[in-house]
Amino acid sequence: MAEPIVLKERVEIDADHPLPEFNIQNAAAYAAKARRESQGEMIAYVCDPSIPHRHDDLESMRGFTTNGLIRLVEWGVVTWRPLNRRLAVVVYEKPLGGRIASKISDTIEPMSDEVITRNFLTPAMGVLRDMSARGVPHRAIRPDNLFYSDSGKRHIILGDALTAPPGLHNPTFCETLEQGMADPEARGRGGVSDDLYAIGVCVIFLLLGRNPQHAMSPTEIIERKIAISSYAALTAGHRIQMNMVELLRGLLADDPKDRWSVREVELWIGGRRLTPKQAKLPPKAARPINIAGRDHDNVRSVAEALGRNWLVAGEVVRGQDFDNWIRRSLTDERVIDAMNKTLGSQALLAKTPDSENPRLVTRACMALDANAPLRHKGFSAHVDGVGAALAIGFDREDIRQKVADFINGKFIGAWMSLQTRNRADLNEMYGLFDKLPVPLNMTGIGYGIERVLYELNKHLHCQSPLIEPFFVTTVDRLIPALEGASKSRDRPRMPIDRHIAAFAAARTADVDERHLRALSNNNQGGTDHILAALSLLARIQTMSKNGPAPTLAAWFAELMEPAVNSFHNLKQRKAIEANVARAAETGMLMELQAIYADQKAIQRDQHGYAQAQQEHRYCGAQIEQLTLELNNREHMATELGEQVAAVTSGVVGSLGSTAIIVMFML
Amino acid sequence: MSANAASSAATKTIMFVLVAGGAVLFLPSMMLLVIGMTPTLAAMLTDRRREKYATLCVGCINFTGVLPFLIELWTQDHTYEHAFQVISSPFTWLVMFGAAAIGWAIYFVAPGIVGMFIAMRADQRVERLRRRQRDLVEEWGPGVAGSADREEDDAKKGARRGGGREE
Repeated sequence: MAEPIVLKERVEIDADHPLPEFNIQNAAAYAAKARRESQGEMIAYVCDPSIPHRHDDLESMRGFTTNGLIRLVEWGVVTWRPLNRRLAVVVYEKPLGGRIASKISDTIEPMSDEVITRNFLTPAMGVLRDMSARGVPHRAIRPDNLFYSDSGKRHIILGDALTAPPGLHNPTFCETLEQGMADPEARGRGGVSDDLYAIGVCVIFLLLGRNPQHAMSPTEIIERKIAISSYAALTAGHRIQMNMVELLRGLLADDPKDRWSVREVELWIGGRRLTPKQAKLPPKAARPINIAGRDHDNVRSVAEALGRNWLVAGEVVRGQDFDNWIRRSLTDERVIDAMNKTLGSQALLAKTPDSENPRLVTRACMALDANAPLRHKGFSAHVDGVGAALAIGFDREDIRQKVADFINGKFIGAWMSLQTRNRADLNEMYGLFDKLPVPLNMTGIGYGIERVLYELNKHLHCQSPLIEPFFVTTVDRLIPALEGASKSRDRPRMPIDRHIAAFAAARTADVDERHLRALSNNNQGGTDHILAALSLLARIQTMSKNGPAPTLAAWFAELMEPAVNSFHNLKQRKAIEANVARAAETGMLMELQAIYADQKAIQRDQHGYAQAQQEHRYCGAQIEQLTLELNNREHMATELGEQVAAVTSGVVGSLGSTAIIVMFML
Repeated sequence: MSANAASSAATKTIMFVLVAGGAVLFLPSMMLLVIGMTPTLAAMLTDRRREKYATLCVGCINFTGVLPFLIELWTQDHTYEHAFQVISSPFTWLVMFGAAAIGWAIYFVAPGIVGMFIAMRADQRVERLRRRQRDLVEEWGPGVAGSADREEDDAKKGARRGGGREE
């Protein structure tokens, strides 16, 4: 048996013992056991790295103990040996009775209202109440995520909710209209009200023993829910016991204000009985309006149709018929006000260029149905779901483009002005979305859609192909991961890419615009670019204080070889090479950077080199001249020699004559 | 004909009259001088250079060779007989023409010595310059040597700008 994988010294995970019956869409289940405490069997969910887990909620749910929810034991990131990479693992106590339904289409033995109330509804309300107190919605309540907690298969508990973004794997019929209309990846956090709705769907499943709606397409389900209400659509004409009708109508109310709260459900469990409320349908217009070949007679349905058929919806929104329908057939003052506020007058619409059609459609949709997700160019998202949608679909060009268009559209302000309830978290989101177009539209490294990805997903691990397997979620893990990646034989040319720069910039204030500007301005792959990358990583290493990275430093030293070789002074070059080798051995990037960033040394070298060249040229010219002189030596020697001979003779003659005269005179 | 040419002709005439007069007055010395300075006369006739270095060279030494006999003539007996007596002595000829030969020797040897000296000095200078060039190349690399190595130098500059290996 292979060595078990240990999570935080608490849990041992047996990678050789998968539990496929517990698998969920984005995580494979493996057997696990506690190292010290005597706890029962456990399951470890090894998360798909392409789906972001709910980091903050995992932390909030630590130590959460209740009867109605699968109990979280531990979570963390481990080195998953079978895949030779790091992955997030979430460990739960194993539900002894297994799954109620392995698939959403499964059929089970119907349960009685009494069993459902006692064994499912009562503990589930306790779970929702306690989770609500911690500010965590479950958002993964669906029939195939219910388990029997005991081997006797009596008590029903809710399954994992934390390994995937809220509502990602919920089928459309399990979601409220507002959530169901959004793309599954972009459903947003939601709240306890959405969980109560999903509880209602599960109650129908347990009562009937199957999901009447599972075969219908999401579009059909939404249309039916709008047209005949969720209760009618989900029960699909099946007979429901009278005592459960009130509960289900309360839980499946399409208007969140009418939907039952946990308290109301608990009162119902306690025995309070009221006359079931009739479902409130959206007001119908006097006449329907045709959109893309189909008639629609209420605002919610029209908004949904416009959003879905956005390519042709621009013409519809600009048309006089649409204006007439809003003002004369619908006669809903609130909608008319919203339309005036977001779109302006018909005359103004006529002046708007055709290229603005997608934005017009988005604004019209939000005015018609302010609670619905924002719809833009086929992307339907709640504001707080955009980040998850981008994280899940980042590899897809169309998703990246949709999210970029959505952010550049700057719809959040207009959308917020239409909301009747003001949520504090939305103000934060507004602030963020207001700033995002600037980095999004900058093309430099550290900006663009990658920056948006990390700004919107505060706990997403760095997606750089270089270090993705290292599952780096915080900036202090970046240098050790790069050190590990440096040891790879098939490493890329550069130890930094757009993802790493964007991740660092989004995660720490220590990396500022100066670093990114230096990375962006310089020739990609050139010495200055490498130096800018070194500077950024050196800064992170210094601030993170996470030790030396000798292999990474050696990688940089190798990349900077051309820069060292560009030093003309051979002695200086040798000295720099020695310094670089010494700094690389220490593994401290800051030391390496200090060597390369010595601009004065470079200037000295260049100045000295220019002088040396000039001197060399001067020497050459002198040699050339002297060689010429040597070649003409005979002529010069004759010329000069005759002069010398004349002078010598003159001198000798003078001296001789003087001596003779003196001799004769004596 | 210009006034200058007329003046020059007059000067030459006056000079000729003075020299002729002097020659008549000091005829024994003149005779000895003319015979003794024959090598110089020959040098003057064969010397094609404007500067007349050969004439100067031979003349100076030749005159030194003639001078003792002239002084002897002037100090003992300035007569034709004594002048003929001096001229007829082989020793006189040996001294006068020997001196002229020394002048010729100086004239012929000096260019060779000067050439050797120039070559030696130039060689030393060239060697010093080459050593300096070698030092520069040793310190700054072959790129400093100019056009042949400039390509390499440019390649390095390119590396500084554009980096090394491609991705």
